[in-house]
Amino acid sequence: MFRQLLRTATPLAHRQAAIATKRTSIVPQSLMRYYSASGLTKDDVTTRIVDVIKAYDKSLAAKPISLESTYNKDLGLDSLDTVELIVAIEEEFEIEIPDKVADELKNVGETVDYIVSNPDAN
Amino acid sequence: MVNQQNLLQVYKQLIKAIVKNDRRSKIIQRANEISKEISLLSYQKINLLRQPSNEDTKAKLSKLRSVQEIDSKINKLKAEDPKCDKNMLYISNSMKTDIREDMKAILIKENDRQINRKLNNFIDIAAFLNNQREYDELIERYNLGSRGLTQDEVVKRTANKVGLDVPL
Repeated sequence: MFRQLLRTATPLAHRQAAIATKRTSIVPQSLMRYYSASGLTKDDVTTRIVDVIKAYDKSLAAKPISLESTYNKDLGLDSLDTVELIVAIEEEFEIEIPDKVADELKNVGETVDYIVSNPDAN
Repeated sequence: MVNQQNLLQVYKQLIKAIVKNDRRSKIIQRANEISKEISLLSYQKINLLRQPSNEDTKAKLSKLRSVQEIDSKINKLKAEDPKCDKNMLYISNSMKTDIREDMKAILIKENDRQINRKLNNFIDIAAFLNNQREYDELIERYNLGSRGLTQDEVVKRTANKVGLDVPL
């Protein structure tokens, strides 16, 4: 009887060991997938956003745009203009920026950071 | 009382719907324009090259230069990708000013109830545009290859669906 018990116990232990090894092998894979999914670098996002801003208006195309430029003061955009810009950026990166977050985005740098941190952006 | 936040939200919805709606057709249109321009330029180039070459060196040089010019234009057009054109992300200026004037006029003239009604109207427009776009996408997805059929072909296919032939 004991022998029988032992017999059933050993395969179980084997199985558990197998599951454990499987688990450890999965972890790095999912990590890799995560990194490859958000393949946007900060420089990439910055140039694209600057291009989007410059396409808005001829007067903007001539202005120097840096990460610190605020939409309101430096670029001279009113609230409606900013809304249009946010919509354009949403379309460019194929994401939805919630209204609450969009209200907080006051300058180019903050927008870049938000998009880099958003895993859906591409 | 209509607050600014509310107004901005409505404006955003409307702009977004219009941009999404127009962008695809604009991209297709631009791609068509590009291919047309390229074929026109290559036609010009071929015509230039075909001309009899019994001219003096100066004329030949200027011909060569214009051929090079056409070549660079063609290359520029080929490199252009309408999908990356950032201008497609914005609505046209005339449409923008129209919408803004409308909103301004509503805000100044009407009372609160009227304003709310008109703003709802804007929201409805946005919803209509979104639904229409989705409808078009679904139609295309369910009828693969139906884009670009002429009216006659559509009629013929519809007739074929129910086992009829269009009389010649």
